Amino acid sequence: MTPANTPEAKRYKIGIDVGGTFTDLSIVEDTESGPSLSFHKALSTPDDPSVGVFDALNVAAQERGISREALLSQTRFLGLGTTVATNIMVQREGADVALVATRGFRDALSIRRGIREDVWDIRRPHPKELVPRWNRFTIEERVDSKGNVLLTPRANELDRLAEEIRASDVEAIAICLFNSFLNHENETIVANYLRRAFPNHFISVSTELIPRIGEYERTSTTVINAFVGPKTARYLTQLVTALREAGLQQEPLIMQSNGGLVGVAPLLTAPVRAVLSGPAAGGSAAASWAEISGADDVVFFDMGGTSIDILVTEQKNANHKDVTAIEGYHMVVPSIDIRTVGTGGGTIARVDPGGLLRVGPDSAGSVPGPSSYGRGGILPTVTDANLVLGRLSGDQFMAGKMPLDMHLARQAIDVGIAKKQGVSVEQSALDIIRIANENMAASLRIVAAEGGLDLRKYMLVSAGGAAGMHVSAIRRMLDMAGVYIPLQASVACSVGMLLSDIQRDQVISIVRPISEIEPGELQERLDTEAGQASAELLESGCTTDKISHRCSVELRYVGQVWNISVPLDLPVTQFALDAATVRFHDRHKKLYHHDHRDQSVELINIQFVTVGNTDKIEWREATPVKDIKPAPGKRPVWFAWSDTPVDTKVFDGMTLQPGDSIEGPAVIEERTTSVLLDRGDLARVDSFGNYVVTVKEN
Amino acid sequence: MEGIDPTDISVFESKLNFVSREMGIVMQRASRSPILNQSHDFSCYVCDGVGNLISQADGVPIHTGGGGFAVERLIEYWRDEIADGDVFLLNDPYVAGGNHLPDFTVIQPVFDHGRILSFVCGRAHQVDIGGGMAGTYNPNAREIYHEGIRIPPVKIVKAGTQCRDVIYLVALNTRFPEMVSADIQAMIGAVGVGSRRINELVEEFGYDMFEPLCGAVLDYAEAVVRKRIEEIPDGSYTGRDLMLNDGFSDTEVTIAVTITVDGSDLHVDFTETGPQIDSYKNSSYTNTCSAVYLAVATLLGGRIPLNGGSYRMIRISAPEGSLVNPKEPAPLTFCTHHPTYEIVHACWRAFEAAVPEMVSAGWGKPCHPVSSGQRPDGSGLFVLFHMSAQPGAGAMSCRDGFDQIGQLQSLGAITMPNLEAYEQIYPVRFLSHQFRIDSAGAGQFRGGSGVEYSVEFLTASRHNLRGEGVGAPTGFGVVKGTAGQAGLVTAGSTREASEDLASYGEASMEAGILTVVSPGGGGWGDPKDRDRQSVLDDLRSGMISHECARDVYGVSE
Repeated sequence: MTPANTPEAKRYKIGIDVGGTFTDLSIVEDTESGPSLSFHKALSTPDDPSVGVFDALNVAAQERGISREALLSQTRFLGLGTTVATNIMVQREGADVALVATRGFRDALSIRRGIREDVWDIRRPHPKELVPRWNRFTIEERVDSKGNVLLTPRANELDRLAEEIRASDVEAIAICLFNSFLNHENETIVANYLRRAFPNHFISVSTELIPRIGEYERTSTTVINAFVGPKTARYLTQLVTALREAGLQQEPLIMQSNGGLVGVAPLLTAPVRAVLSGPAAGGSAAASWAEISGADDVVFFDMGGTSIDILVTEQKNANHKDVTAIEGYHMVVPSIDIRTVGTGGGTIARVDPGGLLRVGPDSAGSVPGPSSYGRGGILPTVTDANLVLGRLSGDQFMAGKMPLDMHLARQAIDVGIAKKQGVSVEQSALDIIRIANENMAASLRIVAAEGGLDLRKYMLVSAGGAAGMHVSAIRRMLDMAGVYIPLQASVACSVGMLLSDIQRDQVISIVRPISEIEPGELQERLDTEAGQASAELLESGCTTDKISHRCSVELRYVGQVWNISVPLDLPVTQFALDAATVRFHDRHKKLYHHDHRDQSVELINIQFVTVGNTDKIEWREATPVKDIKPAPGKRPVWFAWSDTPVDTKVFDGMTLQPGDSIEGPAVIEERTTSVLLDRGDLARVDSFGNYVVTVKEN
Repeated sequence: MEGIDPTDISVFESKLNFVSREMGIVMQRASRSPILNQSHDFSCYVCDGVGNLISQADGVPIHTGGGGFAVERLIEYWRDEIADGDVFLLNDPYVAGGNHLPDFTVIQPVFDHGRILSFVCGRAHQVDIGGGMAGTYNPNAREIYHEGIRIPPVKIVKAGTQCRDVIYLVALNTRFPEMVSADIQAMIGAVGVGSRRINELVEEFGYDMFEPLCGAVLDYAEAVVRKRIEEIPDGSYTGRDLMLNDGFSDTEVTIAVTITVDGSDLHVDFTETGPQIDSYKNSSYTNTCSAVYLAVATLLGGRIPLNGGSYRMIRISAPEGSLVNPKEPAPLTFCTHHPTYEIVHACWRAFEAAVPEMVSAGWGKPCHPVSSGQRPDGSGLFVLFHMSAQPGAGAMSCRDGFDQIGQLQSLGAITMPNLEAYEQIYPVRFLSHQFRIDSAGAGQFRGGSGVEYSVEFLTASRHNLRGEGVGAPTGFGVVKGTAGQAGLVTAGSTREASEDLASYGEASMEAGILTVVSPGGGGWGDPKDRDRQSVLDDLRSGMISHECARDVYGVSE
């Protein structure tokens, strides 16, 4: 009996990414000839993102000629990105929160360690604190720097605290006490008391979320959790109910900032784990493409209309970071290390007061969008420049569904740039592209500097609709190993959902020289963490045999403040600790070109990762159909190296097949993206149907 | 800029700024001392082949504005003995263009075609430089020799080979030789990366184009800033600010400036400022220039090109032997704090009447000491900078002052550590770190609030007192705004038994409590014009009292 013949068989796996403009749906269907992957798009509905989700499901069902209920009831995996928590932060429309701090320390949230993103931007105020001072309450208690309780919260203090909170009329409470990362006893006393006193409030407790050193970041994280908590919990609960009512029998999984999936239940108390959910699935997609491209180490470059998300994989794993920020608010939540840069197709070019051309960081967005969209935009943008240069086709943009207006594009560039600089419209367009490419390359250089990466060894993976016009130039500027352009480039994050594991990250701070760590004691602590994490994964629908644990430690030389994270082998033994120390020295040497092997190394944080393996897409190699030769059209395209337009081959991507090679200059038009090849570029269609662009050997 | 493609200039400028930023990243991550890697008290910058500052995109404003002077002195001293692969170290303000001794500057010349095209530089505050007191600031100094080791431009790498002896000589003259050596290594690493990047730039744009492009980047900056300065009405404007003590007694010291605006030219004249003083509160010429540049940059909203072209229209007259250009061997270690505040403040006040929308109210002046002592576990000396005892900033016409923020000379770039991290490193227990009611100056935009910061030392400690913000308000108000409250520093075995400390000199105590009540920043504009809801919010927040709301802002509930 094949699955396809069984009515109740669950033959679909679905990944849904809710983006700013589109909600993308990727679906794998088991067919007699094996699993088959396809995509659908619906417009996003920011007011209630679940509408867009159901619209996308409707499209997928319609195209299969079945009802949505039939589709969902036959779905065995549904992975979802959520922008709800993100949007709450962007719009600052979260809950009214009360913060409980140790007496004397309630202003850490507001002082924010004095961090200002750009010191020269002297006229810009800090972002407004998420909890006004009148809702920041304190309690007399204290834990010392070794974790000893010096003062336990007294009963009358707790009563008073509860009264104050009651009078403040909040719907969420955040609790973060000084030094609680060393001993959560006092914090737990306060939390238990307030949970009894406020059974219907959303309560966020720092040590339950992230028992990590640093009162500012820990407080800020706990507050963000409370701020997004009630709304996010309501949304997720409603979404699950609606999906279940619509026929889904499986528990849906939600993408977290760390690039791993999780069931809805844990997010109801720790929604801060999903604040950067949106682009995080790019991590799995990047890692998977790194694998099939044969590169292992890639820079994933996801360029849309307003911005680029950049992330890096090393040895097929997306890099993570601990401290992230959204709209200037800081969180210590293990997250995929994604850098967002304000250059996209809609980025605006202008001549500055000193007469130099500048591109960005402001964008025309999707409304009004580039001038060529004909929706009222009059400022020249990157997309307009690509159109003027013949690199984009006015008729073929978004598969012809959205024609671009050449006249408007030329006019915007002429008025905005060319006339002011006394050059031709085409020259201005070339200049815009050059500076845009330079900005993008500069962002990658910063990423490389901060991570100690040698970009020459990295493959640039192109994702998002707008990247194809720029990746070959950026590769050349940075002398990177090559460019990889997957066919699924424009729906990378929804594909990523189908490539992700279930994952829980826990971070604990133990500040002590590594020589003083007792392996048995640490292993015991990790066993406790493992037990909690496994319980969460089982709740998310995972089975015990799929669960594994791994661990990394953040180490530093005594006196340093920057930590370097290295793997710690499990179970923890003296040998494992020594091996981790050696890895630290090696990594320090690699990153900073010096090390100090004779010096004391201290442990700061331990990251304990629990993974529930899911059943993922396997990319299938296609067999070329013999005897079809690509028949390119031609159109004039402008390049910086020619004073006149170059008659350039234009290929329809649908007609290309594995093994085909295309020499630049050329344009390849895919359904939702176009790829520009410059002279000297060689694009090869690999066995998966994806493009590999390298330098043509002479 | 004739004959050069403006797009080339735009790209070149962005790449130069990347070079200084990347050097900063390398340095921050590799440095050992908390002052560098946690607080970013360092800067990386790039000069052209003759010492013009062509990028200062990284780090602390007060470090870099006058950064080119060090390169000029280096060239004068070494002339044709500068070789490819050399790296230099210097710190001396009198002979080497340094700003003050604690900031070590490491400089690498970048060669191409056998010629020096550029100098890449890192300037970083060291954890110690020897001298009369741990922690780089010696309030007892009467000569620069008391302040620490003086380093002229010396080679620490000779044609690619490190001069171990010279580095050892320098490090041995500090109390933390290991940390200082490691930080010098971090700086060598950083300028090494910078010099490779400059070579790549030369290759990309062509050897013949490098110098013209440097010139164009400077010309561009000059043109942009001149346009902005033309908006300021012509005239002669005076401003002054005070230090309340001269470092040894309660003698007021005035910084007076006359700024003449003539079209797009600025003449900043310190002739009215008094002679040099005996204490470490003199300002080196390098520091004076950096402070003036900082004042002008903030006046223009900070959004100006980050290179020396932006300052070309500024002429500075600082008479030799004056407080702002002292003669050897006057001590001057404290200059990056005071009189930097006073120079910047005096410049702002000069412009208050002419361009009120552009000026900032005064930033409260810091008053916290530097504390040191022996660790109770016998592991040696500790030196603690009370980074979290800072004051509030001044308001501007578009925002309130930042409530407690890093200091003016860094425009807040030097961030504060977490106190939990400090408790892991130092023998202390914190008692409070919270805003101080009514400390902010009032105004349509109010000043930033100071804090009440209290810390218990679990062992005996010594305190190098620098209570500039103690005794009288320092964060002055502008345009009818009022000044922020003065600060106060107390110490004793308990909070109740604490006594006021002097604003300069030294104090010691057995295990006990140090409390810093830090000053507030000044307000901008008439308090009566403040948005009513903002006043009510401040009242509800406990940032202001009922009396203040009623009497100063004219708002009653």
